[in-house]
Amino acid sequence: MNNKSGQVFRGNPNLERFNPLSRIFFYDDFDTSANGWCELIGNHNGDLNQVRNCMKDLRPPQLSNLSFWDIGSHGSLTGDYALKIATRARAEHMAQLIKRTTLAKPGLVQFETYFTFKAEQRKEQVLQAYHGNQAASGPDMWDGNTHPSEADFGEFTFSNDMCIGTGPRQRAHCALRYVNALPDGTFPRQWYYKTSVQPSTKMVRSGLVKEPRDYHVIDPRDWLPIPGSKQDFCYNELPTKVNWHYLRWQFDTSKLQSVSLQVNDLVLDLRDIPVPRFDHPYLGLTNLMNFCVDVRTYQNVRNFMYMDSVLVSVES
Amino acid sequence: MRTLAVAIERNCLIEEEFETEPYEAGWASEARWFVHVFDIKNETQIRLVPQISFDGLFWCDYTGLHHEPVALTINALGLSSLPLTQFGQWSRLKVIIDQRGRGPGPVAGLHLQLVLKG
Repeated sequence: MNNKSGQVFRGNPNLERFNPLSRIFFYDDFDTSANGWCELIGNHNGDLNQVRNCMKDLRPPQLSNLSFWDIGSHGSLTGDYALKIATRARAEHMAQLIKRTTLAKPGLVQFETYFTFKAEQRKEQVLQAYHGNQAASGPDMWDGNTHPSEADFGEFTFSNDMCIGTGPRQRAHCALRYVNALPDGTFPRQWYYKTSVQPSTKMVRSGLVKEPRDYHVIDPRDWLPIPGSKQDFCYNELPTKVNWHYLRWQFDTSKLQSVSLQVNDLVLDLRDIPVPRFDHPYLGLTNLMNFCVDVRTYQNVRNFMYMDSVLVSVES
Repeated sequence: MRTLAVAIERNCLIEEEFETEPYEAGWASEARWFVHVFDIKNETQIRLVPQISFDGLFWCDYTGLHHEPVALTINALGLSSLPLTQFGQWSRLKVIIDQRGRGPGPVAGLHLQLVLKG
């Protein structure tokens, strides 16, 4: 396999399953390390009480071999471990990991990953069965194919943080959210983009906006569906069966825009999708380029996001 | 050698007994919990019992090499630690309030941190 620059990846299965741009920026195989993906924490002055609510409990990384109560270790796509992001078992709790870099040159950036997601098995379902009662999805409810845990998985979001100067409108976050199931049990199963900026600590402290309920936006309703982005994932019938999915997301740091998103067989052109910019300036963030992945539950059930590996490449 | 330091509970105000979130670290051959007490009421005594699991759902108390019970008792400000070996795949702490200091509100404030090596 050749990439656009004619570099040959044939014989290197780690890279051959990706489609990188001309220069690989980093390749993270989570078999040996969290590779710089760490818990995001909100800004503070040394006093942790100053950390805002939405950014004070975003949970640490875990290296997981996806072990489940019924079969033990499921394993990752390759090697032993995957990077795991886990929420608490509390409705609307979000967990987020971040990797922090800077830009060498504004331009095209591509983020690729093999990922999967699951809701935790409800323990009471197992206990009810052990105690001779019907599991929560009793025979009347369970058809042998779809599992009620599908409704326990809320949403996940891939996002970035880009800042290309110290002036107004030079910082923006692209955020692409997949919503699986809502609290009412309905399944949007669609990708969304956001229509307002992520309220920063500076904005909240100055009184410009209130502390948000949804980390990414000023108002939780500030999301719109990406046209043509309905997508069913292979959930595979149980909370303990895992299939891996391919994602390729391109964005352009010179335009502070997303360019495209591929998720398995779904390909979306994002060039006309607006990305809100901060109207005010930020200092000390020149050439910032952060990558973020988060997962949010709508039920009192832990939601998990796993990445087997990540490759980020740039057009040099 | 891999190492990873993670903040399992940060700025945690203890009002009731609870268990920390399940933490998966099958790759690690050793672990050490750090307990940083930044606030505690007089006459409060808290016991931290490490627990282990096969799957993150069902838990039992961790025991030492000779199957003896293991726990860390705290009753004063400061940092203390608790080592684990042969803990398998999952780790968490059960936080038990053995003695509750007088007055309303939290009995203690803790950071619960975990360092893993493998």
